[in-house]
Amino acid sequence: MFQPNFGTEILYSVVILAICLIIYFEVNKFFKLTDYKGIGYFQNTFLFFAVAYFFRFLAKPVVRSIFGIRMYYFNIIILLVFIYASCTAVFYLVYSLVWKKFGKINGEILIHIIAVIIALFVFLTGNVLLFIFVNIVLLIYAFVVVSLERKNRKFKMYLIYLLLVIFSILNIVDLLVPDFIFGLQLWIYIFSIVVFLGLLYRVLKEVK
Amino acid sequence: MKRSRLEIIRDILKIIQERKNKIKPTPLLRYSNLSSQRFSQYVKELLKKGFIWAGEEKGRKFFSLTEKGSTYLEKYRDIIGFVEDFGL
Repeated sequence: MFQPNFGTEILYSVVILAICLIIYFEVNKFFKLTDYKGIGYFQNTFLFFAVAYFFRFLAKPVVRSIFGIRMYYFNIIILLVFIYASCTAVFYLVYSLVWKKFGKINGEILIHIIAVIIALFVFLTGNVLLFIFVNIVLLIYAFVVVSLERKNRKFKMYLIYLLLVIFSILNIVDLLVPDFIFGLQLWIYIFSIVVFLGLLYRVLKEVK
Repeated sequence: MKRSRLEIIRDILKIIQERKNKIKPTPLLRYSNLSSQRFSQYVKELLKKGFIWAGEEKGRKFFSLTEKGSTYLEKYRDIIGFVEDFGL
Protein backbone atom coordinates (compact mmCIF):
# COMPACT_ATOMS: atom_id res chain seq x y z
CA MET A 1 0.00 0.00 0.00
CA PHE A 2 1.26 3.43 -0.92
CA GLN A 3 1.89 5.79 1.97
CA PRO A 4 2.86 9.33 0.97
CA ASN A 5 6.34 10.24 2.16
CA PHE A 6 7.82 13.68 2.61
CA GLY A 7 8.92 13.91 -1.05
CA THR A 8 5.44 13.06 -2.34
CA GLU A 9 3.81 15.54 0.01
CA ILE A 10 6.12 18.40 -0.94
CA LEU A 11 5.81 17.67 -4.67
CA TYR A 12 2.02 17.47 -4.49
CA SER A 13 1.72 20.65 -2.43
CA VAL A 14 4.14 22.67 -4.56
CA VAL A 15 2.38 21.64 -7.80
CA ILE A 16 -1.11 22.48 -6.50
CA LEU A 17 0.10 25.70 -4.87
CA ALA A 18 1.82 26.83 -8.07
CA ILE A 19 -1.26 26.05 -10.17
CA CYS A 20 -3.55 27.93 -7.76
CA LEU A 21 -1.30 30.99 -7.69
CA ILE A 22 -0.91 31.05 -11.49
CA ILE A 23 -4.71 30.86 -11.87
CA TYR A 24 -5.14 33.61 -9.25
CA PHE A 25 -2.71 36.02 -10.92
CA GLU A 26 -3.92 35.27 -14.46
CA VAL A 27 -7.57 35.83 -13.51
CA ASN A 28 -6.51 38.94 -11.59
CA LYS A 29 -5.54 40.56 -14.92
CA PHE A 30 -9.21 40.49 -15.96
CA PHE A 31 -10.39 41.51 -12.51
CA LYS A 32 -8.13 44.56 -12.40
CA LEU A 33 -9.47 45.61 -15.77
CA THR A 34 -13.16 45.11 -15.01
CA ASP A 35 -13.79 45.00 -11.23
CA TYR A 36 -16.40 42.40 -12.17
CA LYS A 37 -17.55 40.75 -8.96
CA GLY A 38 -17.92 37.23 -10.40
CA ILE A 39 -14.31 37.29 -11.58
CA GLY A 40 -13.20 38.58 -8.16
CA TYR A 41 -14.95 35.74 -6.33
CA PHE A 42 -13.55 33.22 -8.80
CA GLN A 43 -9.97 34.41 -8.28
CA ASN A 44 -10.47 34.35 -4.50
CA THR A 45 -11.36 30.66 -4.80
CA PHE A 46 -7.81 29.91 -5.89
CA LEU A 47 -6.21 32.22 -3.37
CA PHE A 48 -7.96 30.27 -0.59
CA PHE A 49 -7.18 26.92 -2.23
CA ALA A 50 -3.51 28.00 -2.23
CA VAL A 51 -3.71 28.86 1.48
CA ALA A 52 -5.54 25.60 2.21
CA TYR A 53 -3.01 23.43 0.41
CA PHE A 54 -0.10 25.23 2.05
CA PHE A 55 -1.52 24.59 5.53
CA ARG A 56 -2.52 21.08 4.55
CA PHE A 57 1.14 20.46 3.75
CA LEU A 58 2.16 21.80 7.18
CA ALA A 59 -0.51 19.75 8.90
CA LYS A 60 0.64 16.40 7.47
CA PRO A 61 2.23 14.25 10.21
CA VAL A 62 5.15 13.29 7.96
CA VAL A 63 5.93 16.98 7.39
CA ARG A 64 5.46 17.95 11.03
CA SER A 65 7.86 15.25 12.14
CA ILE A 66 10.54 16.37 9.68
CA PHE A 67 10.26 20.06 10.60
CA GLY A 68 9.89 19.18 14.25
CA ILE A 69 6.59 21.03 14.59
CA ARG A 70 5.46 19.71 17.94
CA MET A 71 3.93 22.71 19.61
CA TYR A 72 0.33 21.88 20.45
CA TYR A 73 -1.16 25.34 19.85
CA PHE A 74 0.73 25.77 16.60
CA ASN A 75 -0.77 22.52 15.29
CA ILE A 76 -4.25 23.67 16.28
CA ILE A 77 -3.83 26.89 14.33
CA ILE A 78 -2.53 25.04 11.26
CA LEU A 79 -5.51 22.69 11.27
CA LEU A 80 -8.05 25.46 11.84
CA VAL A 81 -6.64 27.61 9.04
CA PHE A 82 -6.60 24.59 6.71
CA ILE A 83 -10.27 23.76 7.30
CA TYR A 84 -11.31 27.42 7.19
CA ALA A 85 -9.42 28.07 3.92
CA SER A 86 -10.79 24.88 2.31
CA CYS A 87 -14.36 25.87 3.20
CA THR A 88 -13.85 29.45 2.05
CA ALA A 89 -12.40 28.31 -1.29
CA VAL A 90 -15.39 26.07 -2.05
CA PHE A 91 -17.84 28.77 -0.87
CA TYR A 92 -16.21 31.36 -3.12
CA LEU A 93 -16.42 28.97 -6.05
CA VAL A 94 -20.14 28.41 -5.54
CA TYR A 95 -20.70 32.12 -4.82
CA SER A 96 -18.96 33.11 -8.06
CA LEU A 97 -21.66 31.12 -9.89
CA VAL A 98 -24.69 32.42 -8.00
CA TRP A 99 -23.69 35.88 -6.69
CA LYS A 100 -26.22 37.67 -8.90
CA LYS A 101 -29.04 35.89 -7.06
CA PHE A 102 -28.01 37.53 -3.80
CA GLY A 103 -28.79 41.06 -4.99
CA LYS A 104 -27.43 43.59 -2.54
CA ILE A 105 -26.74 41.09 0.24
CA ASN A 106 -23.02 40.88 0.93
CA GLY A 107 -22.46 37.15 0.64
CA GLU A 108 -18.73 37.51 1.23
CA ILE A 109 -19.19 38.20 4.94
CA LEU A 110 -21.46 35.15 5.19
CA ILE A 111 -18.82 33.02 3.48
CA HIS A 112 -16.22 33.85 6.12
CA ILE A 113 -18.60 33.55 9.08
CA ILE A 114 -19.88 30.12 7.97
CA ALA A 115 -16.34 28.94 7.19
CA VAL A 116 -15.15 29.94 10.68
CA ILE A 117 -18.12 28.18 12.30
CA ILE A 118 -17.50 25.00 10.28
CA ALA A 119 -13.76 25.08 11.01
CA LEU A 120 -14.41 25.38 14.76
CA PHE A 121 -17.11 22.69 14.68
CA VAL A 122 -14.98 20.22 12.72
CA PHE A 123 -11.98 20.92 14.91
CA LEU A 124 -13.80 20.70 18.23
CA THR A 125 -15.89 17.62 17.42
CA GLY A 126 -13.47 15.92 15.04
CA ASN A 127 -16.48 15.31 12.82
CA VAL A 128 -16.02 16.11 9.14
CA LEU A 129 -19.60 15.23 8.25
CA LEU A 130 -20.82 18.82 8.66
CA PHE A 131 -18.14 20.02 6.28
CA ILE A 132 -19.05 17.37 3.70
CA PHE A 133 -22.78 17.99 4.16
CA VAL A 134 -22.51 21.78 3.72
CA ASN A 135 -20.31 21.38 0.64
CA ILE A 136 -22.70 18.91 -0.98
CA VAL A 137 -25.76 21.08 -0.23
CA LEU A 138 -24.01 24.12 -1.74
CA LEU A 139 -22.96 22.13 -4.76
CA ILE A 140 -26.52 20.91 -5.36
CA TYR A 141 -27.79 24.48 -4.93
CA ALA A 142 -25.25 25.80 -7.45
CA PHE A 143 -26.06 22.94 -9.82
CA VAL A 144 -29.80 23.72 -9.71
CA VAL A 145 -29.20 27.46 -10.26
CA VAL A 146 -26.79 26.81 -13.12
CA SER A 147 -29.03 24.17 -14.73
CA LEU A 148 -32.00 26.55 -14.69
CA GLU A 149 -29.93 29.21 -16.40
CA ARG A 150 -28.27 26.94 -18.92
CA LYS A 151 -30.62 28.09 -21.64
CA ASN A 152 -29.27 31.60 -21.25
CA ARG A 153 -25.67 30.96 -20.36
CA LYS A 154 -22.96 29.07 -22.12
CA PHE A 155 -21.60 26.95 -19.31
CA LYS A 156 -18.96 24.27 -19.78
CA MET A 157 -17.14 24.13 -16.51
CA TYR A 158 -19.56 22.47 -14.13
CA LEU A 159 -17.94 19.03 -14.29
CA ILE A 160 -14.53 20.48 -13.40
CA TYR A 161 -16.06 22.47 -10.51
CA LEU A 162 -17.77 19.31 -9.27
CA LEU A 163 -14.48 17.39 -9.32
CA LEU A 164 -12.69 20.30 -7.65
CA VAL A 165 -15.12 20.20 -4.71
CA ILE A 166 -15.02 16.40 -4.48
CA PHE A 167 -11.22 16.40 -4.30
CA SER A 168 -11.25 19.26 -1.84
CA ILE A 169 -13.47 17.13 0.42
CA LEU A 170 -11.22 14.08 -0.08
CA ASN A 171 -8.16 16.14 0.88
CA ILE A 172 -9.82 17.10 4.15
CA VAL A 173 -10.87 13.51 4.80
CA ASP A 174 -7.30 12.41 3.99
CA LEU A 175 -5.97 14.68 6.71
CA LEU A 176 -8.61 14.22 9.40
CA VAL A 177 -9.64 10.59 8.82
CA PRO A 178 -6.62 9.08 7.01
CA ASP A 179 -7.76 5.48 7.60
CA PHE A 180 -10.91 6.13 5.60
CA ILE A 181 -8.98 6.42 2.34
CA PHE A 182 -5.88 4.53 3.35
CA GLY A 183 -3.90 3.44 0.30
CA LEU A 184 -5.84 5.67 -2.06
CA GLN A 185 -3.87 8.83 -1.36
CA LEU A 186 -1.67 8.55 -4.44
CA TRP A 187 -4.73 8.35 -6.69
CA ILE A 188 -6.34 11.30 -4.94
CA TYR A 189 -3.14 13.30 -5.42
CA ILE A 190 -2.89 12.39 -9.10
CA PHE A 191 -6.53 13.14 -9.86
CA SER A 192 -6.42 16.40 -7.88
CA ILE A 193 -3.45 17.55 -9.95
CA VAL A 194 -5.23 16.53 -13.17
CA VAL A 195 -8.35 18.52 -12.15
CA PHE A 196 -6.32 21.62 -11.22
CA LEU A 197 -4.28 21.31 -14.43
CA GLY A 198 -7.51 21.10 -16.43
CA LEU A 199 -8.68 24.34 -14.86
CA LEU A 200 -5.31 26.00 -15.38
CA TYR A 201 -5.39 25.03 -19.04
CA ARG A 202 -8.85 26.55 -19.48
CA VAL A 203 -7.90 29.74 -17.66
CA LEU A 204 -4.67 30.23 -19.62
CA LYS A 205 -6.49 29.53 -22.88
CA GLU A 206 -9.10 32.18 -22.13
CA VAL A 207 -6.97 34.85 -20.47
CA LYS A 208 -4.05 34.50 -22.95
CA MET B 1 -32.53 43.94 -23.56
CA LYS B 2 -30.84 45.43 -20.50
CA ARG B 3 -27.11 45.96 -21.00
CA SER B 4 -24.68 44.64 -18.44
CA ARG B 5 -22.17 46.90 -16.70
CA LEU B 6 -19.34 45.48 -18.82
CA GLU B 7 -21.31 46.13 -22.01
CA ILE B 8 -22.09 49.73 -21.06
CA ILE B 9 -18.41 50.41 -20.36
CA ARG B 10 -17.50 48.83 -23.72
CA ASP B 11 -20.12 50.98 -25.48
CA ILE B 12 -18.90 54.23 -23.94
CA LEU B 13 -15.27 53.47 -24.75
CA LYS B 14 -16.16 52.43 -28.30
CA ILE B 15 -18.08 55.64 -28.89
CA ILE B 16 -15.02 57.66 -27.84
CA GLN B 17 -12.73 55.53 -30.03
CA GLU B 18 -14.99 55.84 -33.06
CA ARG B 19 -15.06 59.66 -32.72
CA LYS B 20 -11.33 59.86 -33.34
CA ASN B 21 -10.66 59.51 -29.65
CA LYS B 22 -12.08 62.89 -28.73
CA ILE B 23 -15.69 63.59 -27.83
CA LYS B 24 -17.53 66.22 -25.83
CA PRO B 25 -19.69 65.15 -22.87
CA THR B 26 -23.07 66.00 -24.47
CA PRO B 27 -22.74 63.84 -27.62
CA LEU B 28 -21.20 61.07 -25.53
CA LEU B 29 -24.25 61.14 -23.26
CA ARG B 30 -26.56 61.05 -26.27
CA TYR B 31 -24.81 58.15 -28.04
CA SER B 32 -24.41 56.11 -24.87
CA ASN B 33 -28.17 55.80 -24.33
CA LEU B 34 -28.00 56.33 -20.60
CA SER B 35 -29.83 58.63 -18.23
CA SER B 36 -27.69 61.63 -17.26
CA GLN B 37 -27.40 60.29 -13.71
CA ARG B 38 -26.12 56.88 -14.80
CA PHE B 39 -23.92 58.50 -17.41
CA SER B 40 -22.25 60.64 -14.73
CA GLN B 41 -21.69 57.56 -12.56
CA TYR B 42 -20.08 55.65 -15.41
CA VAL B 43 -17.90 58.58 -16.50
CA LYS B 44 -16.75 59.06 -12.92
CA GLU B 45 -15.91 55.35 -12.71
CA LEU B 46 -14.06 55.35 -16.04
CA LEU B 47 -12.02 58.40 -15.03
CA LYS B 48 -11.22 56.83 -11.67
CA LYS B 49 -10.14 53.56 -13.28
CA GLY B 50 -8.03 55.42 -15.81
CA PHE B 51 -9.93 54.18 -18.87
CA ILE B 52 -10.57 57.74 -20.10
CA TRP B 53 -9.16 61.16 -19.38
CA ALA B 54 -10.82 64.55 -19.49
CA GLY B 55 -9.14 67.39 -21.36
CA GLU B 56 -10.08 70.93 -22.28
CA GLU B 57 -9.80 72.65 -25.65
CA LYS B 58 -10.87 76.24 -26.21
CA GLY B 59 -12.62 76.17 -22.88
CA ARG B 60 -14.67 73.08 -23.78
CA LYS B 61 -14.35 69.76 -22.04
CA PHE B 62 -13.70 66.53 -23.97
CA PHE B 63 -13.01 62.88 -23.19
CA SER B 64 -10.32 60.66 -24.67
CA LEU B 65 -9.38 57.01 -24.28
CA THR B 66 -6.27 56.07 -22.35
CA GLU B 67 -4.09 53.06 -23.11
CA LYS B 68 -5.91 51.14 -20.38
CA GLY B 69 -9.23 51.98 -22.02
CA SER B 70 -7.95 50.69 -25.36
CA THR B 71 -6.76 47.50 -23.66
CA TYR B 72 -10.24 46.99 -22.24
CA LEU B 73 -11.75 47.27 -25.73
CA GLU B 74 -9.19 44.84 -27.15
CA LYS B 75 -9.79 42.34 -24.34
CA TYR B 76 -13.56 42.78 -24.14
CA ARG B 77 -14.41 39.68 -26.19
CA ASP B 78 -12.00 37.55 -24.13
CA ILE B 79 -13.44 38.90 -20.87
CA ILE B 80 -17.03 38.14 -21.93
CA GLY B 81 -15.97 34.70 -23.16
CA PHE B 82 -14.29 34.04 -19.83
CA VAL B 83 -17.33 35.17 -17.79
CA GLU B 84 -19.68 33.02 -19.90
CA ASP B 85 -17.51 29.92 -20.08
CA PHE B 86 -16.79 29.89 -16.35
CA GLY B 87 -20.43 30.70 -15.53
CA LEU B 88 -19.56 33.85 -13.60
